[in-house]
Amino acid sequence: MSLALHGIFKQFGTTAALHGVDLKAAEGEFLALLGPSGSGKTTLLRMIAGLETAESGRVLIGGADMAGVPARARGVGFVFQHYALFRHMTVADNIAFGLRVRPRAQRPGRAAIRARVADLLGLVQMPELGARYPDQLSGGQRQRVALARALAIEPRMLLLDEPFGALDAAVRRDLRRWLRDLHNRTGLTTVMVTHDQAEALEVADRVAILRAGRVEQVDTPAGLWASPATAFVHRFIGESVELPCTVADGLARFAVAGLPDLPCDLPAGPALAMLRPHEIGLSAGGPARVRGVAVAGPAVRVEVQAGETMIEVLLPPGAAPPALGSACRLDLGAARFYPRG
Amino acid sequence: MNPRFPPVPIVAVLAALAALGGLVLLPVAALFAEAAGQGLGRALAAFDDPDSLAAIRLTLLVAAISVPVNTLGGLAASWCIARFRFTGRGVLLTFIELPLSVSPVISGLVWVLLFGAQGWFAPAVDRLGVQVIFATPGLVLATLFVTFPFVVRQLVPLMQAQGSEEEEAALTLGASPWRMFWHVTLPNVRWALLQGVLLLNARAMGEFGAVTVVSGRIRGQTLTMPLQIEALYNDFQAPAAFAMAGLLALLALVTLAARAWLEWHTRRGTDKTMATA
Repeated sequence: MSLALHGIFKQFGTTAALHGVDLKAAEGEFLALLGPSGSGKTTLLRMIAGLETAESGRVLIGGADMAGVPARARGVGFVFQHYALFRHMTVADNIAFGLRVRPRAQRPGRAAIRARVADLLGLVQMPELGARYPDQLSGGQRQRVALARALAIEPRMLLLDEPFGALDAAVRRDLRRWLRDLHNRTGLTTVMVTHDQAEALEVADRVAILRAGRVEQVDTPAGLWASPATAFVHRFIGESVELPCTVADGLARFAVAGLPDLPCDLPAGPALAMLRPHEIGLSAGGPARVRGVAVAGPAVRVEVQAGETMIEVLLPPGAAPPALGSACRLDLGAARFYPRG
Repeated sequence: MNPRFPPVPIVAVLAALAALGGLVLLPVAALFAEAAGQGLGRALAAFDDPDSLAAIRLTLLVAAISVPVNTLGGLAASWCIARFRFTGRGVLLTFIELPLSVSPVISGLVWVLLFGAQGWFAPAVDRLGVQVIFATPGLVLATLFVTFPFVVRQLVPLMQAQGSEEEEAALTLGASPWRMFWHVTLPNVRWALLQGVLLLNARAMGEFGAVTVVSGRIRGQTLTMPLQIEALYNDFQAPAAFAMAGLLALLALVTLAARAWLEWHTRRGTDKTMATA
């Protein structure tokens, strides 16, 4: 089902948590809500599930307004950050819970429930663990049980709150791939909250970047890489080199000595030039100095001093590392400009 | 031995055992020895006395009302305190502890102030023709007041530690609030709740100070077991007093044993969690 949020506003005490958020997810889309802690992303997710109410604004699921619809009637699967498995029930009972609490008329028979639980245990790749208790499972297994439990009710939408937050890196990578694969198979509209940009960019179809209760940008991972809308987004989704400059007459003049002026279409005033380290070109001979060279995996990381400023440059794989202390020139032609202050 | 702690000094262990033996075990043993020393026949004869039987009945009645009322009330109060942030929450938490910090005499006296002959609600109670003070309702009220904190004190820390995510999960899975309570909230706190109920029951049966004030000491009518024991003792009927005291202590020991069993059971549960975490 599709999801639409219109002008969501929420206050906790006197501090506003969300300032009029508008957001859409199409049917079958995988949307990630990405932002630092305190950006309001979890509050937003809980609002979709009906676990939190907005002061104003509307939540639409499949086009229907969810105002006044309690969490239990929304038919969304919610996976909590700390799994929230029922500690006194076995894995199988956890998964069956959503089916067993249905009103009698819609409740499947015992055999049907057992079959569904077995299916789901197979889907999450732990068919033989139905009789275990949550405290006898590893973190990754608990996460998958939580997913199976949420999927058991055949939800209209899947909501994931930091699903990999508490797992170690290797398990995380596996589970991420598995989740994307699961999404491809079920085609379930999915909204995932995360503070990990790599995770969001890898798994989601589109990523909404939140900052202090506002949506900064919504785009595909490729779009976010290619054209970050604000300096915040640029900084948040990957390594950034930032160089303060001043724009006048369509030219950006750098505060750092020894960097050439660049054409820029921002209005006159202070600005910030931003680049990824791999977008900076490096050539021999010039006013800058090579101060550090490190071979980091296939790429070479070079530290260049221009005036008083140190600038990180990532050379493409196979490039010959420059000599330490040699003179060099920086090519900043790929820079994106953002207004400053 | 646990390597994180230095070996326990033997002197401290001996001191603790001596204190326990001298201050707790010895008096309790003396009580039972005294009760038994009368000869079983004479001890049992004490229970032929209709006043003593009335006291036992009254104690059981007071406990039978106080325990369910304060279990439900305590459960509801704990849930509100642990789950919601509201103005006055801190004040409420403090006031729930009040019966434990105030002298039991005062816990009785407040009811006299409210329902006694000159009390605030005396006219209303008179009009209804109900006697509260120097009657069973007064004993029940005083006992309810004194025993209210026991369940809350057991549940609030546990509920706060567990958080509300499991309850929220139940809701998103389609459970009604009622089903959520029965299938998630209650099972998660059942052992702590049982412990609280046992403590509450022990205190309801054993309370002396608060009920003394509201009882009026009418033999055969408003004397609970602790009050009956005192009355017998003051009448120089030591054998009967000891027999009754023995029975009351036995009830307490059964409660204590049940509690120990529960604690052992609960700890085993958490050990299992630790081992697999």
